[in-house]
Amino acid sequence: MAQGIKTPPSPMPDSTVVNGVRATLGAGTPAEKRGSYVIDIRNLHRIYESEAGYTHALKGISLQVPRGEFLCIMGPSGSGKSTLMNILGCLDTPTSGTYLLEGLDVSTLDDDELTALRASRLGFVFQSFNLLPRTTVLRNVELPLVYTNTAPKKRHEIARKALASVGLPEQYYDHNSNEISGGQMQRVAIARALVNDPAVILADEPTGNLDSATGLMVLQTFRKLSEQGKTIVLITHDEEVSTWADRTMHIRDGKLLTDEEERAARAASTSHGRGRT
Amino acid sequence: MRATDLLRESIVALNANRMRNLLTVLGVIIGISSVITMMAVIGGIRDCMMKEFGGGSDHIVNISYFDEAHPAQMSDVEQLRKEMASSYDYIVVAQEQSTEASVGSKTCAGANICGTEAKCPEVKTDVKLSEGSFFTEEMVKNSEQVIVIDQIGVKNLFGDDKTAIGDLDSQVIGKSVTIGGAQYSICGVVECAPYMVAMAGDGYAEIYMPLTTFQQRISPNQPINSLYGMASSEADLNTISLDTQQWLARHFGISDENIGNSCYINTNKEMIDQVNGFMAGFSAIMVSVASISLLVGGIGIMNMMLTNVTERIREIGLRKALGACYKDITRQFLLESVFLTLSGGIIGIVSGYLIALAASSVLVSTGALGSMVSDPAEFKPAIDLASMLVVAGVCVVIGVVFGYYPARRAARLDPVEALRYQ
Repeated sequence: MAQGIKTPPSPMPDSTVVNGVRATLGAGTPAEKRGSYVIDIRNLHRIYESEAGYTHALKGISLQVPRGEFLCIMGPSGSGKSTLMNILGCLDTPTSGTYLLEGLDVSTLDDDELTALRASRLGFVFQSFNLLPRTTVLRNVELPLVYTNTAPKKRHEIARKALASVGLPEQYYDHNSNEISGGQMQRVAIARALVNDPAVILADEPTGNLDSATGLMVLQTFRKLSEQGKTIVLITHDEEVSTWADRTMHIRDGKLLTDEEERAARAASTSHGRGRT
Repeated sequence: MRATDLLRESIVALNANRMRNLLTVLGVIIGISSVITMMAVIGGIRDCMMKEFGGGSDHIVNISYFDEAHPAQMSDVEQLRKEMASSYDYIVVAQEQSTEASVGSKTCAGANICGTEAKCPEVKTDVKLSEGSFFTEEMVKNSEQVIVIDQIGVKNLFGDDKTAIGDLDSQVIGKSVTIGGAQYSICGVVECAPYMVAMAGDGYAEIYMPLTTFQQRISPNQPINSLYGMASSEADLNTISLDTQQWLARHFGISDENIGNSCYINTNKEMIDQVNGFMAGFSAIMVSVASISLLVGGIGIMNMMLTNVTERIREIGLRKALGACYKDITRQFLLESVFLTLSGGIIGIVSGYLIALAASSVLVSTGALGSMVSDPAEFKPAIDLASMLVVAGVCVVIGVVFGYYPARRAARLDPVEALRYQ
């Protein structure tokens, strides 16, 4: 099991200081592994405590995502895929198990360090876009760079490049985000996820609120980014969406299943034969 | 997060709900506005009074004496001058009589003749020369037949209905006026108070002549009732009134209980202190009332900020997901709160001053300021920079105090829960 340490023995090229917190990345792991896994999860458990009792949302998940892979995690509602996404995105911490992001052990970081990590190494695309309403497209895309204290001129430049790479015409850059269509909004959200040059883009049902044509456009954008070498993890319940990824993993009841296990489970749940036309 | 970006985020957020934010700070605006209005009016009154009574004229002592059994004559005054020489640099006598003054066919039936001495303008601050000069000590010694007339008298005796106050002032120097059959030459013209213009009819004039001339020609053997003393620099202004009163009591043989009925002495300083004291008390009451209103306003702001946070839960979750740390969120919301209160304060200061300006014209025309301000036309509300800075500072403090809790609430939201919020 690889152990991540915060201050590496040798100088690291990709270390960032955000808000005074040194987030040193790609560090600590043996040199030959550093280039391989962006995400390395071993035996991850997540248990929620509530008034209703304990919920064991993730039961021993292990997953490795190499750099440049377009991974899809598919599962029905309640399977724990959102929980997994939140942990991958450093918005939530596992109850047990290890999560190495570019070799850095996330469990050793405190709240501020996790926030810094999100600002510099992660990109999010949500199902409901989550753009700031009364703000321009450009300003929306710049937002992660605002939180990394990037200079305004540089921010504009990076944001424009990101918007160009998702194919949004320049005339929309000064529009308010609530004046553009759903498909355009999601493309803006993807551009926003790109600006800090993240290690991995995490997309949670990105086409869920879009019609099939716009959804197709968004998936094509993801495909293009993947071909440019970006690492993408996308969760969905839609099988058609999963066909765009390099690899699909199935999740049910907090566990990752192999293809045969998945087929067996599906057969078991539809064996009652009802609802067939 | 950079300071400029922080400012920008806060301002954009506030701008999104302009009307609602304006209503939220209404309490603060009203509280500050009312404080500023009252402070400006009081400041204006103080300015007028300082102009009127300021400088060396707080050393002026006004002495009124009237006792039928013990009338005062010039010899008594001379003795007072000698025996209280250490307390007074000089004492000016003023005697008044109302009689007819005429120029040709024009007459002032009720002209007020004041016989006084050369230093009169220095101890009677309402005597302000507009043309020519006041009579000199030489003229008083020689009982010359010269007069100084006020602008109303000039209009009534030398002008007509169409003449405005001040038009003929320069032309009347050297001309003569007939009083009691004798001719008097005008050597100077003094200003008249604006409120007198409205009140005085066409039979009125204020005329000053040398005391000696007055006593010989206008009203011989008239007892002396008013004196104006200029206290010396070593004199103790707090006791001079009492000392003078006791001197009069001993000199005329009047008992201590009765002397209060016969004379009234006050220094300008006492009058100023009295008014200052009253204003300080009034200010203290005002500040207390304003504090209550600001407290209430602040609670309203806190309530609105809490609502604001609830409305923006998803936005806060998003910001945290994108890398906003605890400090970024608290700073943004605190700054919004401070901007709210500060803008409320600024609007309050501006509107308070404008109301004071509007009110001053009402106050002037109804004469409500008459007793405290001798020249109401000069009255202008005044507020100094220090007070404005204090008000601004208080607003900032209120913004921080009442914005702290909502800001903390926002910053402590769990991003996952917040993003899920409907």
